[in-house]
Amino acid sequence: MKLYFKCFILFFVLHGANAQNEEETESDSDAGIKVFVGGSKPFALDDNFIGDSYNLKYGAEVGVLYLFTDHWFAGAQVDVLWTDVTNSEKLGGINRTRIISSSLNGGYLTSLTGSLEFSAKLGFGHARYANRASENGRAFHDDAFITYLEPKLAYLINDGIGIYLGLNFRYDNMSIKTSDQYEDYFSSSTRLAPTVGAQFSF
Amino acid sequence: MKKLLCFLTALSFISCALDYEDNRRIHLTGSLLDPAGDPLRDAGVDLYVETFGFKNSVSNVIASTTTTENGHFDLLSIEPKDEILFLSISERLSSFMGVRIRESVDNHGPFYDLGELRLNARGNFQLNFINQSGTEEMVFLQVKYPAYTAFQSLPEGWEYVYTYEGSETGEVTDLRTFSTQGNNQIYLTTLLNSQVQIKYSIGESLNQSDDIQELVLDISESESQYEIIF
Repeated sequence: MKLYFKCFILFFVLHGANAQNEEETESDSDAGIKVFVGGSKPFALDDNFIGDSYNLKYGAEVGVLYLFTDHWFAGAQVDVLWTDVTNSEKLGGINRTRIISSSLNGGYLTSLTGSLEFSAKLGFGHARYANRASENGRAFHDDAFITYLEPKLAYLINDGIGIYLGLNFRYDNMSIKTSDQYEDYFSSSTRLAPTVGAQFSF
Repeated sequence: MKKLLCFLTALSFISCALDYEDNRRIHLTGSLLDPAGDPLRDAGVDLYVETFGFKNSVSNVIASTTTTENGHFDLLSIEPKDEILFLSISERLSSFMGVRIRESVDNHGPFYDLGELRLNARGNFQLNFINQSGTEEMVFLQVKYPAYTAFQSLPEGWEYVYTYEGSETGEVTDLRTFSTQGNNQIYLTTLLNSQVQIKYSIGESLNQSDDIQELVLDISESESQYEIIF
């Protein structure tokens, strides 16, 4: 496994170096594909069900974006967020939830210096809150329409590899039907997630 | 044979499986009052469903709470799929009988306001059969009395789950046969201020006997006992 990972890194380093050489010989635009993989540590920004009855553990993301001009891009990504239930009773008897999101996004990317680039993206998509019941462990789910905004700063080690630091501000509009009294509690979730990861340019 | 048993066991588990609706939560609320109208605190309230398997039915409690000082209860639960809801109120203080009610319709709403559930007063009575004649024959007894209905009125869309067989009409017919050797005591519970009809015969069943004794008892106290001497 470690050997595969080393080969993977080596491929991107060599690919990056090769790309740099090619760039020296031909004036090319920045159009291309970037793939990113990262992790996050989300924090709830409100006292709704997520902020009140969960401890948000950590998240992981993987995505791809396509630069169709020098600056503008469109992409897609998948996120997974692991949680701990802290108050099962207030959730109606849930003892485990994992949040899996898939989204499309678009944004703007610009180079600050030779090795630093800044981007901001706006995304929309769907989240599935995969739950398990406390009583018998049976699975069921809740759905949400998600919207997020993420500014990101990336340091390019070379043309192929970079590392990034982002701040994901996300709003989940939940589809849960319940009484008027609990409607606000289950209506939405707002959270902020610092993210770190690696990106690979092709 | 072994495979068949495994299959039947698996089938039993599958049939008992309880699934939940996606994107739904049920919210039940209400208040418990004693017969005098005072709040009943610390009463246990359980929301459950019964799933029927190959051999037996299983009760799955999906949410539980206790009443507050004001007698109020508030239950939030994930929603069982295609199941009738049952609500069980238990006698933690022994001041009233446990009761079970269930939805009379199976289309759930996300919110149930059961309102004020005011308990009926109950009358516990004890029948003491005293054998003074020295007979060694059997006693055949029939007791008819109103089934104990815990609440003065039920919320719309809910009905009682009677624990007595054949008591859907709200009346219990209790048939017993027992030996006259020694004293016999029978304990029953009914509504306060109701009447209990008793028929008994010695030696022959009620269908065959020409000597049937009948009496009607007024249950006017919460605890009372009556002696039947023969």
